[in-house]
Amino acid sequence: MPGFVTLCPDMPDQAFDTLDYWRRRTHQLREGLLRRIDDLSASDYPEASASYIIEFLLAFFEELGARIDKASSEQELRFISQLIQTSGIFLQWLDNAHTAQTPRALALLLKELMDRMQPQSVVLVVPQAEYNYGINDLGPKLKWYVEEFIPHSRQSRFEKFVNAPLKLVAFPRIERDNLRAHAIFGHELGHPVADDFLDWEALQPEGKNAQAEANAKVAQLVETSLKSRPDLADRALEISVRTLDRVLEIRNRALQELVSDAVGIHIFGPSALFAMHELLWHGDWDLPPQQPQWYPPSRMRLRLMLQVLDEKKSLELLTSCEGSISKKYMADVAAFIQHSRAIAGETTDQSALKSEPDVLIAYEWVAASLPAALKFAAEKSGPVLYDISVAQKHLPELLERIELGIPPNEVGDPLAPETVDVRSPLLASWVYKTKGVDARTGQPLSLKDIDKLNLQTLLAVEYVLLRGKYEQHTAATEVQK
Amino acid sequence: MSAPGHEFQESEYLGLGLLAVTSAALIDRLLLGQPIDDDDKYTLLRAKRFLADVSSGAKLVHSGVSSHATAVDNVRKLRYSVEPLQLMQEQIKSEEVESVFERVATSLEESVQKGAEANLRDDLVMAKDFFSQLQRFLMALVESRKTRTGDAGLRYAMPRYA
Repeated sequence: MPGFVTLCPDMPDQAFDTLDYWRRRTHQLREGLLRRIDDLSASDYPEASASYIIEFLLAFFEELGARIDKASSEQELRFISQLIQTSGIFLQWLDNAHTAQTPRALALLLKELMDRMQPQSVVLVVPQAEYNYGINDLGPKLKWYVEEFIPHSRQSRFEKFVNAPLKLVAFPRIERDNLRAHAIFGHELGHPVADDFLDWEALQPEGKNAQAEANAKVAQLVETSLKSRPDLADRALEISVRTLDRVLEIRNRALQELVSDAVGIHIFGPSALFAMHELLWHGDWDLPPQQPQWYPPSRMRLRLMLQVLDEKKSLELLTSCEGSISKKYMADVAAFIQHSRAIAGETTDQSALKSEPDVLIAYEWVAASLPAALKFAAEKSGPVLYDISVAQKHLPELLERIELGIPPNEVGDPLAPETVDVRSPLLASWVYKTKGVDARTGQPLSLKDIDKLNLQTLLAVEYVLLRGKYEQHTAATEVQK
Repeated sequence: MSAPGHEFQESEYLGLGLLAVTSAALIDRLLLGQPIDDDDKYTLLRAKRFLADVSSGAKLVHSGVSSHATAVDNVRKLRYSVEPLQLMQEQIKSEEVESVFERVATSLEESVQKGAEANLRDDLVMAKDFFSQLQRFLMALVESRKTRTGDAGLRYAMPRYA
């Protein structure tokens, strides 16, 4: 027809295929996510872990294409497309894990400690808007992603990813420059230990007996409830399952947190107590476990941390630190510890736990498991224990360096200095901050002084880590020669 | 400090939902005598494992006995299954869940190996019905947590002067 351009004269006259339409829509979403992940691969990350995750995600969403092609119903496509949408969380994590948002020292510090517990670990450190710390064992999650969503015949491509000790650690962005607060990371490294304990305990005869005992209590509780509500008799299974599930969750969450607190103390010593006390201070000391996180009462946690520190005599060693420079700080440190002890000494949290019968069952079970759990935590922390007796010897010089305005990273002869443990700058920083007075002016520390202290602490950690890397490199070169 | 894996809760619902919807479709193919490939067999064996885990969860609830370390997982799978169980055409009494699911799991495994023989068909129909209900339940669970369009989460954060 003159005046018209026919772009595709042979365009087939196909009937609209609904399944095909939604299949293409799901592919479109997948492609969108793939492109955004690819964009992120150009960012500078403090550690190789981000590239590793990006590589996994690119492979995963490429292979997911085969699963989309195989889907035989809209509902299958709906589940897959929702997975793609949900996976946007990875963009958020990666978007914040680069060096503009996450200090390199923070990621390297964690990797250093984690490697001692699990060699060749992969750690992604991300700041988050929420004021909380968190750890996610990403390795099993990625394995689960592959098993659930990738056709079996394509899964071998992911072998190298699914067996990696990969952890995602989140911290509150507001505390980015405050390395002292990140002594909480010791607690985060305790979470995998706590999970190992729960798996181990479930197979022990004592664990099985405790489980059976808790079950009997739950059955009794449900029976009593149903007696007063005969109209619910036909929902007995549902009520039993929900109650037992809740008891299990409350109990496991309590042990996860308490074991992690103990590991945090083993890894960071008194710094973990100072950091946790500051974190918990914001809330109610006696709040009983609440959905969805089911944290144990803060007072109980503080008590447990003091118990672990006392068993190790860490606080005694810290406050008896020799030298005139230490003495001027230790009275305030001792006062702070006394303040913690006074809070932990109250037992109001125990009464709060008795208010709900399922919480009570869960916590009676926690009390039965705790001695074995703490022993387990101490054993597993062995490779990464913080030696307070060595730190005690270094502390006076580290405090002196802070007073002089230089990073507290080494001690001894300036011509042949000894690099301290990477955690000791944090302890020195806590001690200095607890005193809260500028050594040169005698005035209370201003916000500017705290900023300077934060920078000194961060630089000290970076120097210690760099020195360690340099020594490793030198040693390796010597061996080659 | 936060519960490990909290961010992955929704992915768990989606993974199980996909397993359920795919398994229901594949069981239908078994009942119709249509061929399935190795990837399909892998999916059905995972579905069989899910049924066996629900059975273990029911055993734990009723007798307090746990056969392995995954008690929490099994009880959670049973929790997901309670509502679908109530909506199934063939009602299963609560005290029978353990034995019925164990039997249906075994029948499913046998059908994957040798096809839907006559003595297995009733159990396959039951498994198909269960997975159909389960996928609906899980999709509803995911939907209940979603905000499709909204106020960018500012409803509670911003002061309202008007």
